[in-house]
Amino acid sequence: VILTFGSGIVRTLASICLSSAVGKWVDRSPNRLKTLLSTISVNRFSVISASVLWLFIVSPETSNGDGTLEGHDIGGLPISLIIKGGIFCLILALGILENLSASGNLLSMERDWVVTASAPDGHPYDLTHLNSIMRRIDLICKLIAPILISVIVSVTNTRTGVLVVGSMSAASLGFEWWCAKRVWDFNPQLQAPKTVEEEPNLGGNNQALQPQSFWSKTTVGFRGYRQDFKNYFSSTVWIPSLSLSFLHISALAYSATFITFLLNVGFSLDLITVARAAGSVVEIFSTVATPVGVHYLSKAKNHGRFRGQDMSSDGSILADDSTTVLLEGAPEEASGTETGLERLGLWGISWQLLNLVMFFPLLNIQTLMLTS
Amino acid sequence: MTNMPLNNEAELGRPLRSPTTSEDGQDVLTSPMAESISEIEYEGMTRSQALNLYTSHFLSTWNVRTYEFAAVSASEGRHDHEDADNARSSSRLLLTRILLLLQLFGMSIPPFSAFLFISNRHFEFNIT
Repeated sequence: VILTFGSGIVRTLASICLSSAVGKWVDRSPNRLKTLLSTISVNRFSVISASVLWLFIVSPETSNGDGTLEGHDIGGLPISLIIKGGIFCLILALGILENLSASGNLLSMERDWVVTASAPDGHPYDLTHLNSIMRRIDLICKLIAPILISVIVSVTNTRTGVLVVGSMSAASLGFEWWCAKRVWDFNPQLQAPKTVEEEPNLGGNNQALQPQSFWSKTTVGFRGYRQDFKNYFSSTVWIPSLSLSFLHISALAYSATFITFLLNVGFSLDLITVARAAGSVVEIFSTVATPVGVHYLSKAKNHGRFRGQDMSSDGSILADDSTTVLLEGAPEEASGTETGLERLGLWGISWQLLNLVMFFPLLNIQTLMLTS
Repeated sequence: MTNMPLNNEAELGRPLRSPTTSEDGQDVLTSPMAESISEIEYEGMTRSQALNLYTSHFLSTWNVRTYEFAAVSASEGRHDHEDADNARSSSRLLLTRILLLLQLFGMSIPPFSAFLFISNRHFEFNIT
């Protein structure tokens, strides 16, 4: 148990430390196709190798195979223990690689390819359309993949499950590569090399630093991290982006660590899968319900506040506001959308609180304090 | 709907727009070929490109998600029948309490973060 918790923590720490470097690499490399294909290849390589290694660890005879393996451990066969420990460390390293390449792939695809290749606003495949489809694809995979794996594991055994995952990765690699290549081949916007603003400046620094020692390089690296943090906190979007990341603090997110914990507490894999699937269904439903809800609630007029202006008195105030220059032509519509978002968000938060109150009587007091 | 290389735009596109072949031109303009030409003109995305993009993204996320779940179930498959002893149940109770606390903490974050977000944008938050 400690081993799995430990590995989860190590994986998360590694992704915290290194994912910004991956992000930088995705941002700076000029050839988009090369970047995406290398993230795909690294990801598949690590998944396939990890699956092969899992086959050695997971016992072949029974579905769980604990008896023999644990018996050997306790019996004190140090060689097998060392081998198993070594394989586990290797799997851990591959897991870190997989994690990083997956985030690199996501960054390259969602933040670079989609943004660059999308049609201008108003055309059939504009950014909004592509983003929503991409999000939906992700959520559907999140829904179906665990169900499928858990069905395979419970019908056959863990070994078959691992084998299926490995072979699916191997089989899809070529097709995935071909699809990405085809998109790139027919899209001149993607083919154009990326213009990197900071490149010459950094190149000069690197040249100056090359003869210096390893330590000076690391200090420069740390300074770079500090500068990144400074840049982040100096931008205007840091509060919303930080508050968005706080959403994942909730232990209810079905992350790998949480699933590990639930399995150790004694919940069955099937039950966890059902719970996770229910969560994913709600998530997918929200991609449909939110636009409809916002549209419906935006019909509410003459109340609330919009960009610091009181909406209850007169809508014509908006015309004088300098901040609405961006919304030329349709200030009414934009304010309506914001009203809708505001009210839907309020409902969501109230609903969360009500749910909590039902389960945790202690929070009653807190809620009363908030609402009064 | 098929993809056309950019070279063909120059070869096919210009004669179509000349006034002398207006009748022929209209026929061809309604064909899929002409559609793809007009799509390329604003350097946007065609349907097949989008489908390829979706497929590539689907395969990526699918493999990531399956591996994520399979790794957890594989690493935990070995411990399934180990949970019976009493020594562990007390540590499990402690972990459950920690989880509950974390959950409470996590649940209190969204309203707080929403407040931060809204206050930053100079909204006033009326609960009416």
